[in-house]
Amino acid sequence: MKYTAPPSVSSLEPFDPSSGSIIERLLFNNRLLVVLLCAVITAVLGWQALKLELNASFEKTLPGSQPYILNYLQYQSELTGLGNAVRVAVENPDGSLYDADYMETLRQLSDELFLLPGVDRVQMKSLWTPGTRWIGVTEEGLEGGPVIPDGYDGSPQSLKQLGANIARSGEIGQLVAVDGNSSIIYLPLLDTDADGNPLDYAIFADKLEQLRDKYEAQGVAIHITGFAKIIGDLIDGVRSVLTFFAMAVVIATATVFWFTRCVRSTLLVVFASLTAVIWQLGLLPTLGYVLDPYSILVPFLVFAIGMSHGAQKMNGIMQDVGRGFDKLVAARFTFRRLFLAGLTALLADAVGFAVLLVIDIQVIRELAIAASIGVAVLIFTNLILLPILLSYVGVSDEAAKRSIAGESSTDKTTREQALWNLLDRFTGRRWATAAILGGAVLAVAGFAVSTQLKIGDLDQGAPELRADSRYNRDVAFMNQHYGASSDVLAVMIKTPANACSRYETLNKVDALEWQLRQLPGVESTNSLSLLSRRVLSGLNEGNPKWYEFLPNQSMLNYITAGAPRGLYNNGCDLLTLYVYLSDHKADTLTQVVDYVEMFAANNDTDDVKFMLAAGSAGIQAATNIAVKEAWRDMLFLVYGAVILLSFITFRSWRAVVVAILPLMLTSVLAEALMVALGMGVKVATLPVIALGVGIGIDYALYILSVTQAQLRQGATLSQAYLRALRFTGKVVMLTGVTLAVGVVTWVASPIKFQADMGLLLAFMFLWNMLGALVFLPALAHFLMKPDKAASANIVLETLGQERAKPLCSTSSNQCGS
Amino acid sequence: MKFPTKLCMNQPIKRALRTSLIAGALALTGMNTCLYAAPVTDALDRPAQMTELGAHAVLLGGAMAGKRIVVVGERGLILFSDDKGAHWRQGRVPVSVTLTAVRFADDTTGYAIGHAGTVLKSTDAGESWEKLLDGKQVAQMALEQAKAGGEESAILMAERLVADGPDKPMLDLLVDGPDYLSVVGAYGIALRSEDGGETWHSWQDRLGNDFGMHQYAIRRNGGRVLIAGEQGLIRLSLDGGRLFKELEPPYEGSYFAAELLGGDEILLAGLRGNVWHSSDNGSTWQQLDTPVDASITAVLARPDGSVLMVNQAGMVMEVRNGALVRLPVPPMPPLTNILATDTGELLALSVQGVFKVDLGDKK
Repeated sequence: MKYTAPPSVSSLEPFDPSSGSIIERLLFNNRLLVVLLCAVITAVLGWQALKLELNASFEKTLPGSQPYILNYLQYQSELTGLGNAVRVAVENPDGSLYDADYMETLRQLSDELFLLPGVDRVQMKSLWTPGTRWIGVTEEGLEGGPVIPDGYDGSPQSLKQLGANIARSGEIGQLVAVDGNSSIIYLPLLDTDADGNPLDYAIFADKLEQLRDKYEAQGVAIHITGFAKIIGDLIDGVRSVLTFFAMAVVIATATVFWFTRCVRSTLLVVFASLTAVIWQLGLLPTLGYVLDPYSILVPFLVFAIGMSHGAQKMNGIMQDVGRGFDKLVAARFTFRRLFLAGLTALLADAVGFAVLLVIDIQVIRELAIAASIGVAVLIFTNLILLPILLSYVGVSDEAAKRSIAGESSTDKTTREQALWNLLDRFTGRRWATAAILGGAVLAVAGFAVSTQLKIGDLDQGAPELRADSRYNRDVAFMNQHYGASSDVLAVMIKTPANACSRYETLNKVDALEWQLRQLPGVESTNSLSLLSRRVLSGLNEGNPKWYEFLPNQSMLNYITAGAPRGLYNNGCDLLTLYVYLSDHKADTLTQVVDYVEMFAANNDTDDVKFMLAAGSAGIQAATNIAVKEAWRDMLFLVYGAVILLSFITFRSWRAVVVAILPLMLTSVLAEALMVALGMGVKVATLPVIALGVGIGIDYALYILSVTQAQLRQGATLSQAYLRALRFTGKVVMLTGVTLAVGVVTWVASPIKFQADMGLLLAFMFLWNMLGALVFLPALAHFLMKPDKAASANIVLETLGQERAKPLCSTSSNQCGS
Repeated sequence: MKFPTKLCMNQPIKRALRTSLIAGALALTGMNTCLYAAPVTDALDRPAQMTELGAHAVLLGGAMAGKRIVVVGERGLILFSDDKGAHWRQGRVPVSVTLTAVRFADDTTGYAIGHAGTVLKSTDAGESWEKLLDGKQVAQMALEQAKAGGEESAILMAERLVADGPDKPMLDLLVDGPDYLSVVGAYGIALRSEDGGETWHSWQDRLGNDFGMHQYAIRRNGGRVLIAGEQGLIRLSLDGGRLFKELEPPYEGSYFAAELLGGDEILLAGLRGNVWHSSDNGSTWQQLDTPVDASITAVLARPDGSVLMVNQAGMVMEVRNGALVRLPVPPMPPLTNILATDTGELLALSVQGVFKVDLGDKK
């Protein structure tokens, strides 16, 4: 990108409309057409944007080609125990569940839930469903019945009988809490409802909340967990994002206004940026995409980037108007000057996003596509449309004069001048050394902390939502009062058809189960083998001495035939071993996964295979593995791309080093920040580094290109840097602030990963800005030397241009050419 | 020597053990340290996993070896404690079958029995155990004995035993001295050894258990030997086990536990809270009331003459005035056994491990 100086033509000379590049002529000589065209596109895409759907798909967050995920997807339909289910715990806050009012409320709620569309009525379970039974041993064999006794009438005797039945049903810890104060209604869900339409999670979750409100008013406390509820909460969270967007718009507008002090142009910049957002949102449904909790964040970025580019354009036009040009001419000159620069910067951003396409996770790819579309759109709205609109509307004269005043004033006591002079000190040896040493110390310290960076999620409950969200509090309730934890890793054992009860296979499962229970973090397990131990005892009049995994095939066949769903599939060719974990931290998951891999290596045969992994914890383990690889790949690619781009722009490896090192420092510090905040590397934080680096390079592009051009013309580093600051410093700061503002509102989001992304991005944007302003001159001091030959010319040229440039003063050496 | 368990997982050597060859070789040496992911064999051939979960696992039987408490249970677990159950260590056991009972002849020599026809012996107070007998050998012995006897039906049954494989449990044992033990099990299996387990002979002939009912309890007091079991099986010997008489059962259901008290008293307990007492060696019986109809799994006669029982409802009960009275102890999981230490403390065994029982007043 070549920096060209402001024109030296006064407003009195006629402007030649056929000057400038082809693009400029095409656009500006047909201004009205361009504006009309943009208006039409905006209308069309705006209407398209109304068709945009909100969705939260689980499959799209899975790393598509990770082997465990492939296993899971292959057998997904056969894994009944891990299916989509919602658990509703109904708690009696005043006592135990053996209470007539509680049982009646439970019955009513159970009936209403039964009728919800999407519920698998056959598999639904609660205390009131007839499938919930007790079993007792008698001299003649086994007897049983539904836990609700015959003739139940709420009387104390009925309740006592109910208690005895529940004690014999094995449901304590499953449907009934260990402390007897709550019971669960278990709702497995169908993928499609009766008409074949896919289950609408938003509607389902809404209905659940309505029922929750209705019954909590009757005195019970209701806790709901399950995948469908997470999705519902995510969609709710996405809706609240609109408020954040409004806030971001307001704050960004205020910031830009503070920068320009011109109402007209500020509003135009906001208008252009919002237009970009509309185009981006409109293009999404046109191309078949929907909005999900990840890609909902893209409009913020698009808006913020648009504001900063637009402000720069506007600044240029204002300065030209201030120099006396008429608004059209000013717009054309600014376009001439800044189009390529802006284009390069936007392309740099696009490259940062495009790198994300490499990651094999669909939500991230869609995020990358949405962001790339946004950046492409910005080229049209903020680099083309905005100058054209400004050429019609113009800027206020006051603001124009103001912008020029800042540039030429020799009064060093203005605050801005003071700041630039302060920053200029970093071009000097002492300050540069200090800055670099400081940077090195930070880098080492940051690196040391970042070695603690963990992959995956570090907290309990659903990682998408906050720890104190309603959902996670409900998860904590379930974990506390009921047996099985919510972190399940399922090992799938593939056998030949109808061979799932073979002794050799079940023996291996039995051994593996006991071995896995020895690992820290494994709370309990369940499998057909474990069931056979219990059933064998039951078949022998309940005598505990018969608790054994019997090497008797007919016994195993008999037990298998009567086993509940979930332990094996219909075709009896897939067994499931459930491993219940105390948490889903990366270390816990890794140990289990590594062990099962070892076991499989030693125990798989040609037709019996132990495979990972299903269950929420299993999928998290798989995602962790994929994310870890993607983290590495992404870092390589994004830095590679940015280095390449810098090289093309600056054409000097020294400048590239100067530009990239501060970025790297930001990346290291961002990782350290993640450790400090207890954030792990996961699907949501993966794109952050790429976005931060891809956008962060913008600062270097602005500042270094001016500095470099000045150096080539013979200025000293200090002069070059100072000039760069005068021309672009304010815009750099504005960029940093508007970008940070654009994303920091996410911190208030109820969706945890959005808050994490917002915090990290805000940090990266601000620190990048700081780094660019401080470390660029410091590094340039050591790496970038002025062109001695050219500096001799500068004196001659300034002398020659003295008359033509009345605002220049040779003594202050503030002229460029 | 305590074998490491979880330490094994963190050692880099575990990666080298991916190949079954090395893991198999380690198995042969009997070392249990890094065996985890070895190819799985039958429980009879697999040494018990060293574990820290033992005290919370399914435990079924216990005995005192002097001052040491020894308990046995699922997965080949044999645990011992020298501090009244505060801390437990695990014995080295060559099998992973469920062990159902253990008895010690003195401070150091003891026997444990379990599924798959397993009989184990320890001569070092439970630290290590060797396998004396397993189901395959029992079936072989039965076949040889049947062939020697020449009876066709016996030979057929024995051949079926061999074909079935070792899938029948030993359920209780009696130890009269370091070298004398009687073992009873399911399907009528009953064996006696008088040389510390080197050789065995069958007691099946003298028991006349033609239907092969499971034999859940064997007890001795003086010259009386009692065997009780499934579906009303009661056999009593008055001459130390030479001749057994079939007793008419007061209850046709299964007896899970039994005890011979002083004199001519017999106590039987079992399915659905049935408890029966005789004071005339089984001529007449009286039923004892029980608080619930949960099956009773163990009977303990204490030195002071009191008798305790435990059931599958997690209750500890005492015999008082012809009835069982529930004792006020905190509720426990279904109980499988109860034992008294040398100093009179009580430990209850359950499907979720071992619990201390504090009765408050009694010694």
